[in-house]
Amino acid sequence: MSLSHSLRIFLSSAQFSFRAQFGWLYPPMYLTFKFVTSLAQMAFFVFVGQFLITTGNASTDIVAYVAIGNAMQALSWNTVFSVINITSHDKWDGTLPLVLATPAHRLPLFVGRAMIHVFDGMLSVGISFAYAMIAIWNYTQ
Amino acid sequence: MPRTLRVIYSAFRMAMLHWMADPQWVIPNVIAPFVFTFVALTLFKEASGSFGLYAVLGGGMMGMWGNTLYSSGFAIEFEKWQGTLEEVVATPSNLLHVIAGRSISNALFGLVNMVAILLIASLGFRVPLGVANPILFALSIALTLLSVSALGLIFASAFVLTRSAQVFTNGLEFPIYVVSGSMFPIGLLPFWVHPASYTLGPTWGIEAIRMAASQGNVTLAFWLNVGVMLLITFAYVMVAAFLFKKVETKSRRDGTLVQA
Repeated sequence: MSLSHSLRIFLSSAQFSFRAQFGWLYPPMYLTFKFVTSLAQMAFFVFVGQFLITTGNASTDIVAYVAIGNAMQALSWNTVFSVINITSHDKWDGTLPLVLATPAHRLPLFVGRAMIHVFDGMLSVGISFAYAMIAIWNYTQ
Repeated sequence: MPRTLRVIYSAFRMAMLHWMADPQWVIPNVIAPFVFTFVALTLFKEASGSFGLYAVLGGGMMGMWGNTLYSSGFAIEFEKWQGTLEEVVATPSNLLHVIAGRSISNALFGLVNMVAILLIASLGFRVPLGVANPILFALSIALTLLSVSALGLIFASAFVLTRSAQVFTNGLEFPIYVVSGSMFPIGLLPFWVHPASYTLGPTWGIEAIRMAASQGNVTLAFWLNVGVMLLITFAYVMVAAFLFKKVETKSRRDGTLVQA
């Protein structure tokens, strides 16, 4: 198996894996989940921090602490949950036998399908970091 | 037993059996809220006053809400995966009663979760959890449980029509935690969020639970919180009944239930 052949399997499986999720997920919902859920999760922890600040039990530094930590944690959703669900979704959709029957090498096939969610997770982290920066800026003014 | 209660009980029993047969729900329903409570307790570690109670009751409330939301979202998805959704909709029993039984069972698991969080916080973290008025504390938890279940019914009606119930379920979790002020007073939220907070039964419920936990002789404010929560719960049930009727009629007319 040549490198270019593996790369082609990697890229096509990554692209197909990402596109396939829109079979059951509407793109506006994907964007809402990406932006609104990240915002709500960030808001939850920042408000917990604010509760401690307003009652004199913590300094404003706690906002930076929880906001940055929470932004990094945003990675876990895509990288753990979505990757774990790849084969589960194949089972539910009845496509697992077809995936296993394909002559394509398993390693680039499954790594490609998983990596796209890792990149998607990085996008989530980027969005969460933007919210974190806004929260930190708000508390340092 | 009246027919309606029999249907609710059967759905409740079935959901309990499914829950026990498929214990993967332990992760989102029990472990995740406990992790949030653990984080909150760690943040509140140096704080004085009733912060421990805020963290623990808030964590328990999150557990109840998480369970109900998952039950609403996954109940329909689960039927689709099993290929039994058509039978459930076609049965002469009211779909609302079937889903109500499931919502109650899952909220009850949330209650178990709350008790587990209380015990772990008390024994593991040495959080002082003296409940000032145990009877009203238990009453307010039971009523909040019903309110959370009724809210779950509204979401379940919408979930019948969508293939993205799972995404809704995941996406609605944190907004409700924030808007209901599960772990902080809603006074901290921007004023334009307050109307949304006041339309949520759990917002009034968690306030009543906190009052019963911290005040031996509850004030009129406690009963006001309970009263408003009951009114909102009643409104939820009415809205859910209307939506279920609409959704069921649409599903039967279009014949696209399983494709949705």
